[in-house]
Amino acid sequence: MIEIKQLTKRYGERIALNGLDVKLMNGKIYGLLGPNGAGKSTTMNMMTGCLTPTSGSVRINGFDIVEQPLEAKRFIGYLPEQPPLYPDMTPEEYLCFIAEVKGVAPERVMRQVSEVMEMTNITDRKDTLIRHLSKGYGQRVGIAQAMLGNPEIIILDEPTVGLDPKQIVEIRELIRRMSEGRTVIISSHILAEISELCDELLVLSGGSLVAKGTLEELDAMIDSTETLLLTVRGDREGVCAVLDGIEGAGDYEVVESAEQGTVSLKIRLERGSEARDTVVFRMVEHHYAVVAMELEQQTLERVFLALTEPAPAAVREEAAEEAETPECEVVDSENDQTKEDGEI
Amino acid sequence: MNAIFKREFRSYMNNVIGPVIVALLLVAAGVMITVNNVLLGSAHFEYSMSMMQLALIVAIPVLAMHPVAEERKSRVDRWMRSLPIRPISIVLGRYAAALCVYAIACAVLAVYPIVLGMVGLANAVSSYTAIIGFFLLGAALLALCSFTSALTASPVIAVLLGIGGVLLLHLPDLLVSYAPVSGALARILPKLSLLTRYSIICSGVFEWSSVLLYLSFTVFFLALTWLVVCRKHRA
Repeated sequence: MIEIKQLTKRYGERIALNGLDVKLMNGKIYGLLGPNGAGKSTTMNMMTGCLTPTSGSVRINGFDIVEQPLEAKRFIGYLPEQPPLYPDMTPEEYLCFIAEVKGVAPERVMRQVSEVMEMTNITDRKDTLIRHLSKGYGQRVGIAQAMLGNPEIIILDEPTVGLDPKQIVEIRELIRRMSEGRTVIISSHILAEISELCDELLVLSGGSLVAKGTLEELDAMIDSTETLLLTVRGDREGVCAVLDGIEGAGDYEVVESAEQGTVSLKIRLERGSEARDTVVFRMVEHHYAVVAMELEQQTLERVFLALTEPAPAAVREEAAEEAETPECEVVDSENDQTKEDGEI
Repeated sequence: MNAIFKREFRSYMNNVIGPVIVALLLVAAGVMITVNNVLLGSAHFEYSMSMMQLALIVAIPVLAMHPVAEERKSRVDRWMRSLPIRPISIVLGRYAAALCVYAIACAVLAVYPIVLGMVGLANAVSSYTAIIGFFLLGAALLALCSFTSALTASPVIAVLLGIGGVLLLHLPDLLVSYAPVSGALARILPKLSLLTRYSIICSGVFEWSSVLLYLSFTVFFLALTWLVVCRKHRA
């Protein structure tokens, strides 16, 4: 278990991370999400002991990462954004070196190195110099080193950045395999990756934790409604008349239907209400056949933007302030065009 | 420490730097021997060795800089802090690896007196005393340059700081020779000078106090290096 209490990192006046408080339980995949500069890498660096916090603490299975670093670090495998590889070594030599540094018993080093090479599919390149490996293979060697010593916690900072789509799929599959029985923490900009891999998300923005939970929980935090996509066979007026009579389903819009003689609707429903069932029953009662029905999945992009973007009121206030203090003057020139927002 | 030592030593020998430093020292020794023993006909190998300290001004800082350059190239310095390894193990492992490369050069130098002895140009005892002195001097300078290398992330600055540090060791000798120092200071400074001690060893006088001075100097600068690395780990 990782217990983070009031974790803060300052660089002079700038606060990179501000009072992070979170507990990460064993056996789950956590996604660390946030825009650039949100404090993801700073958090990971402090969790792994690469950076010392300005204040606060990180305890790994009860051991403080600053006070008892050797004990705490034995539970961690870490892959930074730039894989830490020695180009003059082969993957096998490199992994043997890491195993030794991590205190793997000499008689078990070769067995464990073979296991992680097998798991990460690098056995066929074990004797190639790391400098001659592709980026995808390099990343796999990086993940393999994180797995050595059989740590309970694996921390991966942007593990798929810079890889081609095929390599991304392979690395995701590998992360899924290695997560069995381990706590995995991944930071990524790729929202699809996070939503596909992670059990829980931690959303950071401006150095603070703005939300923690499953995608569904985060979605529920920002919106109490859900959208039903419904296609029924019938005339538009009649279908709308049925919907108008249903409590909790009054907010809808008619969208273009692909099939002739049908009406497609986007209906906003109260989350958890019985309105969805009622809509279907009423349609059938009025002999409108339900051709298709789908509950629109909330995208992580939407959740992410809602959690990390400034609130509309704040944006309006900012805009008003900017309007009061224009950043540049309008320049009347044949060649220059000046926009109101200051962009030339 | 053992893992770090093996990794660094392999890195020295797999890259150009290790063989080049060994070759540089052997070529320098060859030049000194050719001039002093062959051309001038001197039967003192140790005199040639006393001139070898000039080669150390460049060789040792370059040798000590190598781990800094490797860290920079591989970007592993920060990640190393996530590993369950003590800073002292990193410092000692790296130092031992560099010292081993230097020891290879010293081991090859140990063959020279045998060859010169065959033609009557070397005395075995004084020659090997000089080689031991050369090893101890190199070990002390290597500790100094490990410290200067730990102060910076730039390999070039590390080398320049190392050269500056080694040159600074000439200061006690220069003060005694050219500045108006007298009394106790004039007596103490030569005793604390690594280079004066080396000259004494190369003149055939082996003193345990010299060994103690070299070892103390080495331990002192390794301790400083350890403090710098600890400070970096707590950044």
